[in-house]
Amino acid sequence: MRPKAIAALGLLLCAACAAHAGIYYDDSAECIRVVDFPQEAPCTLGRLLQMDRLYGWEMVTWDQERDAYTIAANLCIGSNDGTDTWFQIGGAQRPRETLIMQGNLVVYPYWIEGENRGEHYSAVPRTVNRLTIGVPGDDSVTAALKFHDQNEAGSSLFLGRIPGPEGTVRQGHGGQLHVHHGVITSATPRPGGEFGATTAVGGMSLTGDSVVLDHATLSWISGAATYGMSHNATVRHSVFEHLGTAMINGKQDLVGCTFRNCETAVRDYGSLDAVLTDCVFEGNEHNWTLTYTDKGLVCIDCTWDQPREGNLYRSWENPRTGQVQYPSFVSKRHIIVEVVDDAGEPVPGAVVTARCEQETPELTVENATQQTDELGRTPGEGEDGAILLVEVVKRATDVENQPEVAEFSYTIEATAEGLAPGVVEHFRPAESWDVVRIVLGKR
Amino acid sequence: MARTLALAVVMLTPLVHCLAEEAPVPPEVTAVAARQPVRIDGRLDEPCWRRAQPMTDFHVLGEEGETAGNTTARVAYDDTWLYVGVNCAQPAIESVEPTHLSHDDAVHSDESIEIFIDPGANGTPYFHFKLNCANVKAEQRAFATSARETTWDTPWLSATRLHPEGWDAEVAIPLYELASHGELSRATINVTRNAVIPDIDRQGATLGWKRQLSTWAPLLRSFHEPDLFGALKGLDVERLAVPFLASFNDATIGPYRMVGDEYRYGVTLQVRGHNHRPGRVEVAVIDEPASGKGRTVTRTVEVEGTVAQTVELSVPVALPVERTTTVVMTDAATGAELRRTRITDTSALELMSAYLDRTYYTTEDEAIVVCSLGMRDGALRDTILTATDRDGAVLARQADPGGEARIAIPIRNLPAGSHTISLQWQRAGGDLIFSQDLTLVKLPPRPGLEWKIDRLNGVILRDGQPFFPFGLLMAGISSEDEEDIRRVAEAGFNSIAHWTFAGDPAEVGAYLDVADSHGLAVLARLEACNKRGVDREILAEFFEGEALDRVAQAASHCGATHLKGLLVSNSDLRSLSREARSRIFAQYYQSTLDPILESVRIAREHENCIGFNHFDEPTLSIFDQHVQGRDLYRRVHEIDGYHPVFLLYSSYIPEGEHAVDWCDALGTDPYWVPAGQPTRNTPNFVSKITHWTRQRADSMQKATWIVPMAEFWSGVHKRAILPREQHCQTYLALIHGARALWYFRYPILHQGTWDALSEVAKQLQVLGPIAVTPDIPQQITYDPGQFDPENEEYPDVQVSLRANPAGGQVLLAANSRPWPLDVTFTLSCLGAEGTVGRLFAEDRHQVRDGSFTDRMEPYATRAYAIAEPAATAEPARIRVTMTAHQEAAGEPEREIPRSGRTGRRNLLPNPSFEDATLPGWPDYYRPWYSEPLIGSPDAGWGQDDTDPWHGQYCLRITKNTPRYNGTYFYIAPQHNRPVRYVFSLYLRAERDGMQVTVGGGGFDWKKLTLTTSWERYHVTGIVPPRADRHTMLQVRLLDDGRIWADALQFEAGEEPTDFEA
Repeated sequence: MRPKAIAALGLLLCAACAAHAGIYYDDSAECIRVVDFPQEAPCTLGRLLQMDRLYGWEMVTWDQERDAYTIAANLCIGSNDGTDTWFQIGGAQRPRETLIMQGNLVVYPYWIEGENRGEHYSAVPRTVNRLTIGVPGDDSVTAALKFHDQNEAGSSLFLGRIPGPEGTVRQGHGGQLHVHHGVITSATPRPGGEFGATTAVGGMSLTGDSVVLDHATLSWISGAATYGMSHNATVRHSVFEHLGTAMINGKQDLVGCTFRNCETAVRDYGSLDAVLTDCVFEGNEHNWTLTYTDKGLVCIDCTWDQPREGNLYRSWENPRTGQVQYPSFVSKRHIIVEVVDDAGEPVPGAVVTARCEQETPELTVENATQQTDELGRTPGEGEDGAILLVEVVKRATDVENQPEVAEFSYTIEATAEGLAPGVVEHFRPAESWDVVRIVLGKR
Repeated sequence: MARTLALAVVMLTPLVHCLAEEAPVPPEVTAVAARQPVRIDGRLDEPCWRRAQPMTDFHVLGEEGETAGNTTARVAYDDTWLYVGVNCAQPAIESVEPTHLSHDDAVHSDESIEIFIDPGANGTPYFHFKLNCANVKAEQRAFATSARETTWDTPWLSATRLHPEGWDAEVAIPLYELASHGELSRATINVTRNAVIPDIDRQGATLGWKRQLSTWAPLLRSFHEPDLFGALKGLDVERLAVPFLASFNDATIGPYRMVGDEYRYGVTLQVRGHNHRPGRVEVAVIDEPASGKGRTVTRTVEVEGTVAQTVELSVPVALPVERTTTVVMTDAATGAELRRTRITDTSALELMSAYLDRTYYTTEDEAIVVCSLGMRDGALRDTILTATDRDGAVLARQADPGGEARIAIPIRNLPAGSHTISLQWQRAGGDLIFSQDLTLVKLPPRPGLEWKIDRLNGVILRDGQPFFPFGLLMAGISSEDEEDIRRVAEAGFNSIAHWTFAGDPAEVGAYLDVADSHGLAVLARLEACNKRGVDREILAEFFEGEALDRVAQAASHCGATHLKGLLVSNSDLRSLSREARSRIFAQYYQSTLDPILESVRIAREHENCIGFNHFDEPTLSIFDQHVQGRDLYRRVHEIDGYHPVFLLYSSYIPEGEHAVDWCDALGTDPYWVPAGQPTRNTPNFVSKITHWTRQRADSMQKATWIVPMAEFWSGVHKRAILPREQHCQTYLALIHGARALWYFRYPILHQGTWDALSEVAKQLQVLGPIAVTPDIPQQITYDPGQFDPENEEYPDVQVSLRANPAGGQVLLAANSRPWPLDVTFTLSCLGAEGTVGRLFAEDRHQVRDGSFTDRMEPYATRAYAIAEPAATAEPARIRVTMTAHQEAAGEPEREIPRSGRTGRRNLLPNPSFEDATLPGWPDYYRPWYSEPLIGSPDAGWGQDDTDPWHGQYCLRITKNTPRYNGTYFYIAPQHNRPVRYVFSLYLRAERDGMQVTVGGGGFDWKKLTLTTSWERYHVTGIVPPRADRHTMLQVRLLDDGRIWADALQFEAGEEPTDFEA
């Protein structure tokens, strides 16, 4: 039997850790390694259990009643040897399948700096190492990945980075996580029971080349839950709760997400450039902290409550450029303009134009000129071309937490052939998808 | 190693008596535990082999009830390996000569065995190991879906031993690999044998060899039927163990070098382990010169981990002569052989190869000899290259030539005729290193009639000027169809290819005349005047009785291409040996030669004749078609030395010079399958095949001509190509080296397709002259990705920089993906500031620091006009940096397989014609024609929303030409036994009494008389086991006028049930 002691994946040993085909215990990297499983036949937890029994490891156990597998070891999915490795948790036949990790789970990069032939990751074939939790479009499958918080060497998820001793990591390129209606959480979901890596930022490392969080739930994670997640990600309709930080840095584009009971929902640590659409913030200590970036956070049609510790705005002098950067928060809201005649009948084909009433260099109106449809309305939810107005801009100043606040109002005008123009002035977009009604009288 | 998933090329065998056959009962074997180590040496002498259960009575594939007693297999195991021992009786073993000596080559074509193991994974995956009697291996991972992963490359141990009674194979397969992918308690296995057997005719003479395929588990159609493998019992593993495994890849040979006074060449390979187990391997390079004594160079290599390490061995040789080089890797600890391969690409050892820059000369002042010298370093110093005539007179001389030398030979005063040019490469002291003779052909000038190949640039010259042909293959169009020819000319094409049966050679002349009157050049077809039908006497040499009647009937209306198809697929003809099939084709060819050559005599006198199209998609693996191919090529050039011959393969060009040395222009038809299976469901299939064709053509100094799909081909299932995809594939073909484009085929069915082709033709009027300019040296870097078709990796955007005859350069770019991209192009030839314009658009792109950006929508194409001229000193450096927006593409488009919808009673996809990716053209269904075109108002065929029986649409079918029209589709449910199906549909007609026939695909034809009201009709038939994936059902309208169809249903049973949408 292999020793059950779990150690961090050794940095030096990683140079020899790539594998080719099958499931086996990689002594050099101290992990169960899964390699070369094609998309057509991904590796499953059942396979791991079966191999555990054949090898006599006693590292993988299965609670049949809860359909929960526990792995008392590190698990490495894939390698950087040019193979593809697909790993699946949950499926139509095992809708509640759960993996409980008592070690690190590493979705391996396909290229590792200094190890692979070729100086650059683009010089090697872009192969796929992917962990999939759940099934796209199937909400009857709610699989879960849980991590124990009891392991000193760490117990967390790494995409495209390989954890080493004492919180170090080895950088790579590749590694994918796709979660559909699934959960990533702690095996001990309670205050103080959060899991997270022993790296500087804690949490989980999602620096791989593809992350999909689709109706996913991430919870009970200390530190940065999605460190490294940026333009590689598609995040839709997911819930982030009981986290240290839900979003950190990078280019972010999230739709329909909820941030709940987080220490900081969105955190800028130097490069945040986020657009959140239809998102909800509730019960957080900080909804956002904007402290370094020269960009910031744009919220479109979002709602929030008052964060317990408030938000944070702070400027920062970038030592590389010598420029002071003033992060900003922008709230934008869509509106619908309904044009009717003085009999209350809709006016199709009316031309609607929205103009900001304040002099500002900001781009305050998108889709400023639109035509009404058969119902006399400009494009609404789910349609292209809906009028989008900036509600407020808060920009950090040289004084911490005293942002400059600019609120905007608008003049909205409608014209239609044969009718007199109509105007609504001083309109403030306080609610998303507000319907602004303009009546056009006879000429 | 990256994976390549490819659709299986199944080894089709005759479907003998399948209709009456039930699925066979799989056999069972129990593996015996090996209590002592098994030494993999080809000697089945360990105790476990004596105890193991013999697997005998192999079934001859395709011959019901026939068994072959020449193979016995046994299975054993321990905690590390699954062992398979096979005894192969082969009385003629001394005469057997394996021809596939490289790893992963087609070793199954030799005297060989194959082992199939499903590790208890229900065929997803199963593993396939092949071994020939020379101990050369191949392996792949396969899937029940018929996908194959041919680059799957796990090491396994093998040894073969030849003995007077035959040969034995001893194999060890790592058990942990199998266990990882299935449940060993449910594992299944099959062992098959490919025996080569002397083919003896009735007179007792040996005609050649034919293969007998036999299988331990009885199968129905092919070896790839994992559900019929036999049960593998007894794998009671105590404690699974992982063995040391290593392999090598990318073995290459370097050129000769002088090391002291000794010639040497280098062999380089990448060695790596396949898991964490460290170990040592011995690498041996076996050098076998054509003359003189060979030697073996060995080296021991420590292997730790899977990161590849480069290993180089230097091989000393007595003389730089032709040679073969084989690399063998063994486990140094056990001596077991892990891998053996012969290095096939020995071009680096070619001392000299030279060619002339034109296929023939007329008024040129000089001929250029292009010469590649295969030595490096100091070996080239103090050498002289000399060209002399037959009498030894020096024509040109060059001292200290570089690796690529060009010598100009004056030919102004050379008389017409064939002239031998002798090249000698000598040391300064006079020692001859190498010599080569070239034949220079000079012909009397024929202004207006000269079409020759510029072999240096791979382009055709029309009266000395580069010409880019772009046109359509005109199927079924004769000289009487002038309206069709006019339509093609008006669309903007400059050429057409004759693609119909002309019969009378005079028709070839008439066709050329009509095309000429519309300004079109013509690629004439040598097969146009084929005799129709194979003489019964030819077939009587090989068949008698009923079989002769069957074959004679099948071959009674065929030309050369059709005969080729019969030789490939007809069950009677397939049973013949290669030699017999070759003889049938040869005799048919001789019988039809006269009218073909007469058509050449006629065509050569027409100024608009580009050249001649040879046999269509020859199939050299089945019979020796190249023998007649070479003969016809020679005869054509004897009659007409002024026109090139074009040879078109499908997407695969067989290895060997014999496949390509009978043409001047070489082509392929990279037809892809929109919405189909990977890897053929993308325009990158065009990139790959064009790239490979160009490489092959360049190696033989041919022009590269590509035949893209104009609309669809028989392999397409769901839908035809979309307009934007047409633009994309055209650009990809240009980017990767096409020097002519012939679209398959006219007539077109959809108005949108025709509009797209017309737009493409307009662009090709500009891009064609750009495509035939000499290549610009360029280094392209893609980020992310790289162009690596061997591993199915393609950058999203692909580019090529070409000179623009109008000035400056043009960067061709195509987005090969269904998602948009933000792209930054960085070119070394661009200045720090400025703008880049575009051909065919007004846009201009700002240049900053040598870069410009663009947003490329799905399948977008670009021709960026760059004002700066090409640099002459160094290759242009191009970097393409892409940010993909894959999320914008949505879910990948999928097609319902030909086996039909799963989980539905009605198997037919889109059964009431509601879905139409191309407007008006319902997915999965096709007409024979549509007048007017689909998608245009009042189309002759397509979706119709007038009074449908179900849903929003029904299908309108119009017959308004003398040809019958209707609709057809493919459906082939898969079963292990014959199953009765019923096909039903609703039909109505514009007048009572209109008649249709329904059937095909094994169903009886049924004639129906329609009314003006919706009525339901049905036919029944038997779907055989493993039904052919091309089973085609048809609805044919026999009378002029219109009918409508709706609510088609194909379901198991005798009677139709309620329609299921």
